[in-house]
Amino acid sequence: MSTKEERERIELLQGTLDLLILRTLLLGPVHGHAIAKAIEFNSDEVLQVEQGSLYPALHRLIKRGWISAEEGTSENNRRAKFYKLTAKGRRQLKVEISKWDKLAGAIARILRPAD
Amino acid sequence: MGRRRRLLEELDADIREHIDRETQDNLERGMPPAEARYAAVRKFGNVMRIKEDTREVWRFTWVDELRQDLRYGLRMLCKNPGSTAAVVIALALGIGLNTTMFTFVNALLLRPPACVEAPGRLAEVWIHNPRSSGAKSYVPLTYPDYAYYRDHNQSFEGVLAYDGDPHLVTWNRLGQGKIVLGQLVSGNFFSLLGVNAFLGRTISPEQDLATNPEPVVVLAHAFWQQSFSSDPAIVGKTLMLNGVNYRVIGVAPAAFTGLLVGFEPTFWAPITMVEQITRDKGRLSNWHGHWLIAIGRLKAEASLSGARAEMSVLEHQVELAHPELKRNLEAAVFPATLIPGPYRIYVSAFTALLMAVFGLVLLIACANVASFLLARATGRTWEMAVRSALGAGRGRLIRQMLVESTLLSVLAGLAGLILGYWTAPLLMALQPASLPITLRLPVDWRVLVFTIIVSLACGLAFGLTPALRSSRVKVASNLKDEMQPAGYRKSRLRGLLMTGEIATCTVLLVGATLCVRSLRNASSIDPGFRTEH
Repeated sequence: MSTKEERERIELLQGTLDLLILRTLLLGPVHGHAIAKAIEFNSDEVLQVEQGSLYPALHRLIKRGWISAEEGTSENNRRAKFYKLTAKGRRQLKVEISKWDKLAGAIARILRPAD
Repeated sequence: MGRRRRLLEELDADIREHIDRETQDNLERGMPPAEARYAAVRKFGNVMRIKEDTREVWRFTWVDELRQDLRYGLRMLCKNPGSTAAVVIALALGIGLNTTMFTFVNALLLRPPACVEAPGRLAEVWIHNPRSSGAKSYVPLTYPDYAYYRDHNQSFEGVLAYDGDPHLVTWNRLGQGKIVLGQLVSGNFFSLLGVNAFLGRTISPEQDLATNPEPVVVLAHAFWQQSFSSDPAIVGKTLMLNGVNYRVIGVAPAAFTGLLVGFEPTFWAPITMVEQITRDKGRLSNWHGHWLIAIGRLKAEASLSGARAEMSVLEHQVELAHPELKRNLEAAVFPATLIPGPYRIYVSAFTALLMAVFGLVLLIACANVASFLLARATGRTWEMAVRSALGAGRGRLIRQMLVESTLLSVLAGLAGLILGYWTAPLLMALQPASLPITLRLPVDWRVLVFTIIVSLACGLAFGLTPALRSSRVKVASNLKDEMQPAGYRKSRLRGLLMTGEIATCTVLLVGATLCVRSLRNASSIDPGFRTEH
C-alpha cells in the first residue's frame, strides 16, 4: 500500500470496530478472516481495516461476554475458529447502534447546521 | 482463567490460518505465490504487535482489579486512621462478643469429645418415662439394665457405661487427705472409644467383672502432671482412695477428659468397684438405682432409628422378665454428644437466645458503621465522578467500595477474634467456686470460620448501602463541584437507622436489667434447707 493510500485510510476508533464486528456476526457465526472480508466488502471497500486489529477487538468482545468462540471447519474443510454473538452481545449491539446513531446525528448537526 | 489461557495459546494458530486464507484468496485473484503471501502479511499488519495488543486485552482481569482495589482500600484506611480506628473498635466489640458466645456454643454443643474415634457413630441409651415430660422424664440406666442391653443387642459393636455423677473420694497421700473427683467406667470404655493410654494401659473388661472387680485406676494426664510431676514410673504404683489401695495401670492422653461436658475426672476406675467406693452394697444388682449413662457404638450397617427400635424391644423384654418391677418405661436413643441427649435441647434453646441477642448487638454496631460511612460517602462524590468519567462502570465502583468495607470488617474480625480469645476464659472465671465445672474453650477451626463469615457478612451489611449510594453518580454535576444540599432523602435513611438502633438498645438494656435482677433474686432465695454441705 502506498503512503497516499495509507493517509486516506479512514481510522476507525476502537469502539467502532467492535460495533462493526458485532453487526457482522448478527447473521450467524463467522470466522476471523471472513469477518475482515465482510467489513471490507459491505462497506464497498471504503473501510480497509488492518486485518490484524480484528484480533484484539475479538478478544475484547469475548472478555466482555458479547461474543463467544468455538472451533469449527470452514468452507474448504479447514480448521477455523468461529465467533458468534451471545444473547448479551445481541442486546449490546442494539445499544451500540443507538449510541452510534446519536453520535452521528450530533456530528451531522454541527457540520450542517439547520438553516 | 483457563479460557483466557486457551484463547491466547490458540492465537498463534488463528493468526497463521488467517494469513493463509488471505494468501489463498490472493492466489485466486491471480497473484503469483510469493506476492500473494507478501500482500497477505502486509494487509494483516505487524504480527508481533497484534499479539501483544491481544494479550494486553486480557491483562486487567478481575484478579488484577481486585488487587488494585485492595491496595487502594488499604491506602484509604491509612489516610484516615481516626475514623478507621473508630469503626474497627466498634465492630470488633460486636464481633468479639459473638465470637466469645460462639466459643461457648462450640465447646458445649458442636465440638465432639476429644480423642474419641468416629464420635458420630456413638449413641446414648436412656430410659424414658412416658407418663412424665421434659428432661426429668429421662433417667440413666440401672446396672442390671445396662448388663442386659450390653449382652443382648445386635445394633452395637459394644455398649459402654459410665457413672454420670462424679465421685468425691479422699486420696490419702502421705498421711494427708485430699479430695479428688473420679469417674467410674465400664471395662470396655476406653477400648470402645478408641482411646489409647498415654502411659501404660487402659482398663480392660476383665478388670470390670461384677464377680471380681479389680481395684485399678487410670489417671488423667493433667492430674499426673500436677500431682506426680509426670513421674514416668507411675505405672504400678498404688494410690489409697477411700481407704482402698488402687493400682495405677496407666495415664490417659492429654486431650481426653471423658464424655461429659464440664467435668474432667482426676481418675477413672471400673464400675464394678462402685460398691467399695460408695459403700453401697447391692448397687450392682439394684433395679431401682438409675445411675449409668450408656453409650453404644453403632455397627457399620446399623442406623440410629434401628438402634432405637431395638432398644425398645429389649426394654420390653426386661419388663416381661421382671414383672415385679411394674415399670412401664421405654428406652430412648440419642446421638452421643458432650451434653447428654435429653438436656441438649435446653442448652440449645438457651444459647440460641443468647446468640440472637448478641447478634442484635452486632447489628446495632453495623448500623452505626453504616450511617457513619454514609456520612463519609457524601465527601467522596468527586472521587466517584472522576472514576466514572475515566470509564469505571457502576459495578466496578460498587466493588471497590465493598472491598474497602470488607477490609474494615476483616480487620475488626481479627481484633474481635483476639478479644474473644481473652474474654472467654474471663467469663469462666466468673463461675461460683462451689461448682466443679471445668470447661475447655478451644478456639478451633469452627470458631475461626464463624468469625470469618460474620466479618464478611458485616462488611457486606454496612458496606452495601454506602456503596450503592455513592456509585450513583451524575458525572457532569459532580465534576462541576455543585454544592448539593444535604438531601432530605439521605438523612431519612440515617434517621431510620438511628431510630432502629435506639429502639433495639432500649430493649436490650431492659432485658439485661431484668436478667441481672432475676439472678440476684434467685441467689437469695431461701431453699428451705441448709446448702452449705
